[in-house]
Amino acid sequence: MRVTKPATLAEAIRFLSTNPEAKILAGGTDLLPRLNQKLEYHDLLCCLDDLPELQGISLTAGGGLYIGASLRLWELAETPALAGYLAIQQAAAKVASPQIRNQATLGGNLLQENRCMFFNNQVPWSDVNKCFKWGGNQCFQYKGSKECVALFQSDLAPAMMAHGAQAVLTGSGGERRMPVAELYLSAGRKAIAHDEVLTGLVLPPLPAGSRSAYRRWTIRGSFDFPLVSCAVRLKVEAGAVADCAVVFGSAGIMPKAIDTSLIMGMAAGDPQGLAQKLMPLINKAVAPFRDTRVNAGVRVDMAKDCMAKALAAVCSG
Amino acid sequence: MNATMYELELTLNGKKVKDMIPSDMLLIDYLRNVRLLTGSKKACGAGECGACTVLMNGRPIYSCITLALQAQGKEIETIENLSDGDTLHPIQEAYLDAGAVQCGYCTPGMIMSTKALLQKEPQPGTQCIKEAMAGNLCRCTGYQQIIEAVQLASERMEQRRRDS
Amino acid sequence: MNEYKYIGKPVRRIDGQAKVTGRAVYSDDVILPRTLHAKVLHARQSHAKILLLDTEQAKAYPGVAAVYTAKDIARNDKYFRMGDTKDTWVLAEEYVRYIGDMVAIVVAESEEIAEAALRLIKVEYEPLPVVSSLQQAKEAKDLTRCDKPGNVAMPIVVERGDVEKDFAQAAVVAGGTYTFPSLHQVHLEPNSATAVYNMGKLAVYCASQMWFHIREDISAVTGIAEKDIEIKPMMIGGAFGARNDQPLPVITALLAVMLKATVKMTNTRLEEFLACRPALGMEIETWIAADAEGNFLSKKTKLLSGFGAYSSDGDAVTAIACFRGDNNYRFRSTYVNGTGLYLNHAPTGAYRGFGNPQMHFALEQAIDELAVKLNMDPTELRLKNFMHNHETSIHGFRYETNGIRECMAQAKELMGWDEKRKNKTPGKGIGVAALIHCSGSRAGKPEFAGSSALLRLESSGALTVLIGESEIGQGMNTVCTQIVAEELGVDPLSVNVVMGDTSLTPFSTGTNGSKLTSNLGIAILFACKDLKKQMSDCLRERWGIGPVEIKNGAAYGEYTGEKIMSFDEAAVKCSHAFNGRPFYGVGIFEPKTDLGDATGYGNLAPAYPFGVQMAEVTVHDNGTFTVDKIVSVHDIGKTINSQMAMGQVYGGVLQGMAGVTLESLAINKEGIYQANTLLEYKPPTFLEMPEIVGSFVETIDPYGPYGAKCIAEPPIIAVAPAVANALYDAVGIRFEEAPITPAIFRKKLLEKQRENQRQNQPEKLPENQGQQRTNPKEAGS
Ligand SMILES: Cc1cc2nc3c(=O)[nH]c(=O)nc-3n(C[C@H](O)[C@H](O)[C@H](O)COP(=O)(O)OP(=O)(O)OC[C@H]3O[C@@H](n4cnc5c(N)ncnc54)[C@H](O)[C@@H]3O)c2cc1C
Ligand code: FES
Ligand code: FES
Repeated sequence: MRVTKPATLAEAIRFLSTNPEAKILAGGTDLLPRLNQKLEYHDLLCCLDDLPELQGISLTAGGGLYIGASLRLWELAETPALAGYLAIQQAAAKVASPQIRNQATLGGNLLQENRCMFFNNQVPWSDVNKCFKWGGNQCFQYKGSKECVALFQSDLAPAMMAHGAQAVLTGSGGERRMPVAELYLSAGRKAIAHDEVLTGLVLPPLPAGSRSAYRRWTIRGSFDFPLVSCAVRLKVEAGAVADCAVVFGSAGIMPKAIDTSLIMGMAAGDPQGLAQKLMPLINKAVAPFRDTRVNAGVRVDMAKDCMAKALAAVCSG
Repeated sequence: MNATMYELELTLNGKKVKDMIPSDMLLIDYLRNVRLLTGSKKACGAGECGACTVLMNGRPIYSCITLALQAQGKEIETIENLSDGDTLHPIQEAYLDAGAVQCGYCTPGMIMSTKALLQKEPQPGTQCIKEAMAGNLCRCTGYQQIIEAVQLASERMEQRRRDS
Repeated sequence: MNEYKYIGKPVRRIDGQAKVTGRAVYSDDVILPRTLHAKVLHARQSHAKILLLDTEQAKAYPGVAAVYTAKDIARNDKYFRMGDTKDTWVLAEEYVRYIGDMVAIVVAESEEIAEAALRLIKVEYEPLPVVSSLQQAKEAKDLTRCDKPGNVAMPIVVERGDVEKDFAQAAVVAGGTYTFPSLHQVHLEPNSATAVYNMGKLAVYCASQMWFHIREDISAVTGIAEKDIEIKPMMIGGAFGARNDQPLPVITALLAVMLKATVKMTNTRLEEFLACRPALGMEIETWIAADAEGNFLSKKTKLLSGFGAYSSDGDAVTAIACFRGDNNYRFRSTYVNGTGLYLNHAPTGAYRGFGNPQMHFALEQAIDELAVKLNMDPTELRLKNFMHNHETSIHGFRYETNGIRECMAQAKELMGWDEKRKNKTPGKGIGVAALIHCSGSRAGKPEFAGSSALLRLESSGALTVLIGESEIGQGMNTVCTQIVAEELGVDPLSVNVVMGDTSLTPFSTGTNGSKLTSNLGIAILFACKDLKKQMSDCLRERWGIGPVEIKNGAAYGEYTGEKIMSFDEAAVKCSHAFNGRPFYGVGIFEPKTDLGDATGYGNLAPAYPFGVQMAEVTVHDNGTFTVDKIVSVHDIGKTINSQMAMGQVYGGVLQGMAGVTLESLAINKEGIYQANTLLEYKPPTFLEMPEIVGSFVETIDPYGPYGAKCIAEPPIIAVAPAVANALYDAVGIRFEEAPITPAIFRKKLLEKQRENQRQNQPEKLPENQGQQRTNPKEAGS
């Protein structure tokens, strides 16, 4: 395996467009474990965690924030600039472990691979008895599934979505923007071209009276990916719900946002009873995904718990 | 398949070093096999245990899931840098006094995490210690005496600061 | 009580400085010139016939020194000496029987080349039926192994007393079927070995709990005589039983011999999961019969244990599970029917507690069930039935000291048991479990039960303890120095310890059964006494000095009590009197114990440690639970190193708690470990720690050194049942199966809720009423 380390973004994009086999490496905390465990092979890596263009946080013209894609998670969690975007900071503060948060980037977190207990636990027959992730044509989660249904377990994606973040992609063809939610396609694919780099995220300005929170559920307090999580953003005006976003993480192949109009329809004023009203929506929001410790029922229960706690946090302030 | 070579320059344990290494070399392998700094251990190779913890620009990272070239131009500190000849670092002394070492395989990583913690938070409470050290597994000690060691080190370093 | 200077004190670890500075050399830190690197091809099928095994391409790969399969290995069937069954091979021959079974080995110039070449080996398998559960193995419709009909690796059937009669007379019978999974030791250091072959001789650098048995294994498969093999002990990164039976050093040695070279091999974490020896999973049906006052009469047990595809330590572990727990209580009769079954997963073996935690999980929950039926405080019920000092238990254990009652009293105090039972907090529960273990059981090893030690004195005054056991983190090397320091009055840090260098130390049966402090400690004590006598004799006979007594780091006149010369001066004089020879104090401890008769009856150990463990849990509104506190009180005999003893308690308790609440190999019906990573196996982190309160009861055993018994294994043994009993107390649900995963916990809670609903609507389901067991605690309040 060869690894290059371009000095500038332009150089990186040039390199990517001339080397279609190249795979981007940022912090490496998602990709390198799989390479070490022989779950994935690449001939060529393009390392961009230190690219100057991908660092830093700045104010946008519209009063929002621009966050470089290679910002490390610890910085995201601790920077005062993000104080109002609490769900994002809470999510960033909980990912994996301190060491991973020191090394991992925001971009890598949003673009991390989907995971599944069969593939990621190094089940040793997996590269013989190939599943979709190995280029085969079966899925061990759902026998008969037409494509991979592995779980997307990013902590930051739901938080970013709850805040309406836009992804900024830069490639040979220039720059484009799209809502973070649209990055995620079926079977764990990402809506990003091979020669494109996720350069940053744009957060809209925080509306007055709006608060957010993120809660996740794991078996252990450290290392573990969330088995389910929930980001909420709530805007209260004159004691009534004026706007609300609820996004579940680790809920399926992509984060699952509850339709805001649906929520607003049910919210009817008082934010206090909101959690209870939304409960029936959750059963459908969370995919019945198998794992070594939990089943679909537990996932739904915990999704409810996460949502209730997140809503309680934003309501109590 | 062949790895290209990469000219790596970094500050390793306070000294500037330069090495030609395969571009795909992991930082742990660079430290252990090229630099013969075998204090950092590889116990999982997947970011799941913390035995390979070293400091990069003062912050603990897993050297088993970091490429050596990601350390380009940075400062790396390993367990080998803590003691000075016959003088142990107060954290090392505290680990010995508190009984925080059993088999010792987690110890170098634990101590590096402790060092980073105490630099940032000189007097951490118990919960703060647990959160900051939660990226290091220990199978032997049940962690209690490690927490005591961190507290002891914190007290002694504080004392030392006051004395000087 | 005696006042000691070093015994009972928190003396610093002697290997501590090396460990905190990163200078300690573990097996993978060994870097020798001209080393070849080996990698194993592991089976990817749980059970299959090998149809094709083609290594030609791998052999041709540049940098490959050799590729071996079973047919290249002359003594392929000589591995493994510990199981009496002799049913294990170095490499798989015609069949593979578990995922991880070793099929071929590549040796190459580097690990990367070896790995690349591994991928070029072609294997084709014909899949065979997979036996993955104990129930399935018992039914024997499918066979784990075509060479072993019935899947039975080992049967044990023993009855003492008249079980049927006692059950017939019982006022109450309680029990059930309890399932304890196969757990992994998760020693943090993966196995690694470097073997150096040189002109017919072999040196192997590795980690082991049984240096001499590793040597025996190596000799068996290489054909090199044991006297030509030196095992070089490296620092060991944890063991917990996992380093009793280790294929890796044996294979590395074999490769070095076959290639007449230096060969190194290091396991990945995946290989540690797949190709090592996790603990035995067991399914235990046990019933206890008691009279109306709660006096135990009898116990009936049927036990199935999972050996995996080959035996390893399975037979010894199963035997201990069958018998040991019974000995804590007074039974008139007992019946045990144990069956070790082959399964298509990794061979299983020792893990801290050696089968005892599995049985305690069943027994101590059954006793709690009995307490519920009798409407008795479970601590009272146990106190009523514990054995006493100087009694002999139903399986022949003789107790010189038995501090179990003091343990119970202390545990109750530390938990606030009576208070918490009286004033129940909703959602909270407390549970108790008692334990018994052995200080130095022979675990079926026929050689001998004792230990021997050498204490070498050189003319420089340097003292070195030479013993054949291992330092696995438990702190035995420090205990050695404490004993020498106590006896001779020298600084413990000045004493050297060599553990396990087979060319220097006495033979040892290994580092297990919590026997080091109790047995080996005595041998070291004797070695000290022997050395002192030799020195004193020499000074008198050769130099006309004395008679002297060696103490406080000097030689004192025996009658005058005055210091005559320093210890170092005495050392020079002694050595010079004999042309420079070192003096060797020899210590031998031969405990008066039995190997056990054909039925397993006998006094297995010189001393028995007892303990009581209690757990407090909280069940949360969201349907999860946490373990808040664990109290762990141990009859340790005498504490040798207070700090290290407490370290064993903290470590053992957390392992025990994790085994019942977090950890799981998640073996599925295809025989696959679905948790092959630390991330998925889930050993506890700092954030899973409950509050652990440890305490010791010192009974001062007449056999152990200074009265010591042991502490390494006991703290893990009864944590799981204590937690399960606490959960019962909190929610009235019996968790017969570990680990109690969130999925299982939720399922049981829902079942209970439904049951409660039914109870509240008796008109709908009247027939259920009669069967409802009323919780006496609820009824009483
Ligand atoms: C033990 C362990 C526990 C973990 N727990 C969690 C957890 O709890 N929650 C969680 O969310 N994650 C977790 N992770 C996953 C991972 O560490 C994080 O998601 C991390 O943020 C990934 O960032 P990175 O920079 O290290 O990614 P990398 O590994 O460098 O990259 C990840 C992916 O993104 C692509 N990529 C990265 N940057 C860009 C870019 N700028 N443009 C285009 N493509 C890019 C890469 O090609 C790669 O496919 C865990 C990982 C481990 C090893
Ligand atoms: S070896 Fe790096 S985290 Fe385990
Ligand atoms: S001391 Fe053994 S793993 Fe921590």
